[in-house]
Amino acid sequence: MSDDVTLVERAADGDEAAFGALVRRHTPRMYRVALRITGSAAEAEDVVQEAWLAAWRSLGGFRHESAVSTWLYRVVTNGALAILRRRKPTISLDAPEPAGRSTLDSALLAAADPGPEGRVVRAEEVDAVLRAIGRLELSQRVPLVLRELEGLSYEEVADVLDVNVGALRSRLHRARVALLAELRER
Amino acid sequence: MAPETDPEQDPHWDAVRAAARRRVPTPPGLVERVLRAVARGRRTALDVPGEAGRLRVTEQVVVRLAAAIAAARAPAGVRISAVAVEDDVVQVLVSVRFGVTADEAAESLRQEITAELSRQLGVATAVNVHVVDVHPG
Repeated sequence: MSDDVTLVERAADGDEAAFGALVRRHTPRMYRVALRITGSAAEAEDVVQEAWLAAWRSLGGFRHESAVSTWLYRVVTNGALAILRRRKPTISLDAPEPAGRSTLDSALLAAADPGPEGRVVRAEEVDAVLRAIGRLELSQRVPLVLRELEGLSYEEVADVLDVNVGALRSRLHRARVALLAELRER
Repeated sequence: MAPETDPEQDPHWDAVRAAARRRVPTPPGLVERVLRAVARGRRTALDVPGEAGRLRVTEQVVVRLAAAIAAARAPAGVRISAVAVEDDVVQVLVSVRFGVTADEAAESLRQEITAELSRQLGVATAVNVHVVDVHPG
């Protein structure tokens, strides 16, 4: 299996199969990030499609200054932020939850594995975490998603968000404290 | 004031770790839809020779323009379901509210999109509007 750098180089030379291999390899995590940031399965799909179009257009300009996966995280994160900024401000991110299950819950719960009672309790806790993350302001939600849910290193998150590691650490600390406060209020 | 503890040491943080482990399924067909979208982005929908050079517009751009125009100009009771370019024709799929005169609404929208696309792109573009669904008022 070719590595990402080779695939990017071949795709930049017009190799459609190489580009297809990149899309197959990275789309699942790009969708996951887009869904966790936007909270909407439909918007996450749009974000992923736009992100790949943007990535395809900038293949020739990829400078290998960061890993391909980090570059794609950056593209999809920027896409998700752009779509949230365009979203009509009819519903505040801090608004109380509407009755019933949110799109994010539904999309994420689609994966929930029905099991013993203990697992159901844990699933509810996970749902609460995801809802709480969705209520955080974007400047806290995005680094939290990348670091805590995606497991990127501080350096990788800083690279994706184009901030220095020190600033990121303090932003993440505030985000963790805010998330914990939300969870304790349950 | 109590000293601030490390959030990651808090018992609640176990649920955050569990959230990170939850699998998020990729929607069926997403990879294929992405590849089709990129292919559309590559394909040229309009190629207009001019004295000072050529104007080339990809299908993706035409779809985006048409979708934006359709959303802005849709008459009351008409919802845009999808926009695509097929065989060099812009295809707009709409849903109409129950009670709306479908053929009048579709024709009005078709004329609006055709005129605005032609104005923005500088060339005439064929547009079809298909009423594919009815929604309650």
